[in-house]
Amino acid sequence: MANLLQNILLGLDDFQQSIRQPLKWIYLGYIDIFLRYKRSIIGPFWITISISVIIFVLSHLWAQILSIDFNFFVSYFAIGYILWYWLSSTVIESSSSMTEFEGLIKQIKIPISTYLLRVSLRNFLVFLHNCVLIVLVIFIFDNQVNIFEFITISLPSIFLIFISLTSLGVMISIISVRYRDLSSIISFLMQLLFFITPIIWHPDIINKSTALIEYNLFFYWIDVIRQPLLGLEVHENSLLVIFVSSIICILVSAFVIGRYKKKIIYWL
Amino acid sequence: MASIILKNVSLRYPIYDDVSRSLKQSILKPIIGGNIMDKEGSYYVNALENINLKLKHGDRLGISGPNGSGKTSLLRILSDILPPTEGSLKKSGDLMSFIDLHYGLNFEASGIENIKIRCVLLGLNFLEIDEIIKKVIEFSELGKYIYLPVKTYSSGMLMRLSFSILSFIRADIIVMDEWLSVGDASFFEKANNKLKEIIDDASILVIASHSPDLIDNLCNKKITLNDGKINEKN
Repeated sequence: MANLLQNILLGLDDFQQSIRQPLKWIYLGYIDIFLRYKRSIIGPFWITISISVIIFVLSHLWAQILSIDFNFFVSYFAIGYILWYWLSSTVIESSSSMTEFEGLIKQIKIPISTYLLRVSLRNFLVFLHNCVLIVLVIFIFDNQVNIFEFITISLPSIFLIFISLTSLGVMISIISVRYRDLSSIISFLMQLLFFITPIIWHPDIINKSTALIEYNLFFYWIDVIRQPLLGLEVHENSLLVIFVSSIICILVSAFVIGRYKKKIIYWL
Repeated sequence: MASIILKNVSLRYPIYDDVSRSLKQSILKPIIGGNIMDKEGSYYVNALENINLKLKHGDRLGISGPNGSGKTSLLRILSDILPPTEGSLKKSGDLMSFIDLHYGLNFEASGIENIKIRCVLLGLNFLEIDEIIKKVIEFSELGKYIYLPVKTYSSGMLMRLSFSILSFIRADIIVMDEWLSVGDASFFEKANNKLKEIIDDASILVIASHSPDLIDNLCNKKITLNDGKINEKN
């Protein structure tokens, strides 16, 4: 028990050091995106373009398959898919981040969480690019946004999700540097999660509430932002789930850092 | 005042094989049974054994020894990059390592951006960085190349850039793997003088080298490593 606490404290200290030296992840995360602009003029907007094609084509198809109103489904799917892209790309990039930064880890002493904050931040910046698409969809299809809930619930949630995602990334990155096949398992799991999370289908299709939704953290993460944007109300305990899970994520990832921090360099 | 104390430090590099690095295999192992593999990480390289060192202000330590004797491992432990398997390291003062000059370089980014990246990694703020950029542009003599992506640089130019950045950062403790020789004839002289300046300013120097002359010239303390143990100390 004392050991557990000690490891958690050690991990929290690692987080704290990262927060005290914000340039090391803010500037470097920014540079990662900046360099994408250098390679092509529109930079990360390439991703936005390909996402918009996927949304347009699949919305047509799925609105017919599920016989739902096209206008509603486009907004529903676009917001869900763009959020999903942010979540899954962060998780997948985290799983290979330790090998990505191997050169740095072996040469300079920087808190482990700094690397994951960098990965998280650059994916968040890509997400902000994609948000242009969300705004566009809302305008084109004239959605009545539930502005009050968006500001009071969704925006704080984005912050909490960012923290949880980074913590999740910490756990995944450290375990997948020890077990090298984990990163391919992760990308497989994320694909599976995409289909079982209500993104391409609406939870109302299923009459009974299912474990796929009730115990799916990704569902809460998406739902809490998507509902207000569609002019609907957020499920009552969404915020609580997100808040509690972010604390759990931080504690578990702090433990993982504290426990394995010294071993990472030997696993690389 | 800068100081370094190493107490009973040992370092073992674990060697992992493919089976123990696979999650699938690790889960399947107890199911399938049999004892094909020994316990995970049962192979080690003993890099350092029971090293005791005390360095204080003014010490210049030279480390010699054949290849594979643990020189670089010791430097890495001193730089706080490798955590020792046993024993402890106590250190006060900033440390700068000259083991690998090129870490953190981004080959797509320009020279200027790479100066910024490196300085950020070293923990400087933007005001200090602006200062250093000016100095590096002047010192490295890279001219217009400084605005081009680093991937267009020759290896000599890369050395000039990396060395110039580090040469404007002061630290209490300097760790170096062999004496650096940077650049062509004209730059070599300049870089050499700069390096001497850095070392004179530093409180503690630790340098690993194969050249006895260099160590005799620079250092006032010597150790010889053999198979990860300190053989001679004076």
